[in-house]
Amino acid sequence: MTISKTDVLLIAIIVIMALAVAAFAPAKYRADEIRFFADDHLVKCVKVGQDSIMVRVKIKSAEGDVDFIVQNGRVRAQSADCPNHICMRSGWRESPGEAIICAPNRIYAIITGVEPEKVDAMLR
Amino acid sequence: MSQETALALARMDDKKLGSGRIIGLSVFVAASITAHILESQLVIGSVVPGVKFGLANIFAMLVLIYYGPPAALIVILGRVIGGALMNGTLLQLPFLFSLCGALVSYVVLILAYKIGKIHLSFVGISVLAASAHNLTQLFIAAAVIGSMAIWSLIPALLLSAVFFGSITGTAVNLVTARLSTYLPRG
Repeated sequence: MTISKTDVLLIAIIVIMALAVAAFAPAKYRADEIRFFADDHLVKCVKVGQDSIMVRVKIKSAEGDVDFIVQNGRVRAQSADCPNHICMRSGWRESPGEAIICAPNRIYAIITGVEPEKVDAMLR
Repeated sequence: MSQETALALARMDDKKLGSGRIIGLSVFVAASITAHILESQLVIGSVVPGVKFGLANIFAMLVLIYYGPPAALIVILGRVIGGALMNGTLLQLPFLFSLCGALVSYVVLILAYKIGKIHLSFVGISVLAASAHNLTQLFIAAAVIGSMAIWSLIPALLLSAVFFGSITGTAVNLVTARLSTYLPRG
């Protein structure tokens, strides 16, 4: 028996399905912790997942203050004494790599990511 | 025992569970356990979790062709249990994965063989069975871990099922072309 056209068609369908799933697959990295920087120094870390209750984080720099709120793995700038309040208007951020930046106060919060959990069982 | 003797014995009792049939099936069980252990020693499984050759599937398909579906189930179960005994994973989590994957892929294999035989060669049947096997293991892994994140492995598992399923299917195509002169189809 040799390979038939239906075989090729079937293989093509499965490959297309695989690529379609790959296109819509979620991000590989998940959020790990939110790091707060003031004047380019790391001043505070909040682990994502340990903050299901709301946590207020007040960050001070030489230029001014920003109040952040961390909740359910998301972070938001609640109030700031900067002139434009761009940080407050950027809303909730939750994906790894996203940041909230208050340029005038030289304060920013960035969400770091880690690789998903390692394999815990080998299939044989 | 030489291969010709085994095949001659296997031919003796066609449908009944006679001694020739038992010996013939034992040879296939032994061969598929060997393939199972051999591929568990290969490194590809540790690069992407769950990816493997499926060499044992060659023997399962051959048994399905020449001895029929019940015999194929016996060989598959024998391979899963025997392979787990050899690997030392009997009744552990990998055994559960192996068993469920084998059973679901057995059902898909039978269906594809009965329904798709006219249009599909063993490459297509093997690819379908391999995809079913990999997806089943993925669903069980998702249930065990309780996380949807593992679903990002779907593309890799499907593509590997296509790749390795094509290889094993081609092997079965080649083997049946030669073996059919010795063995009647079950």
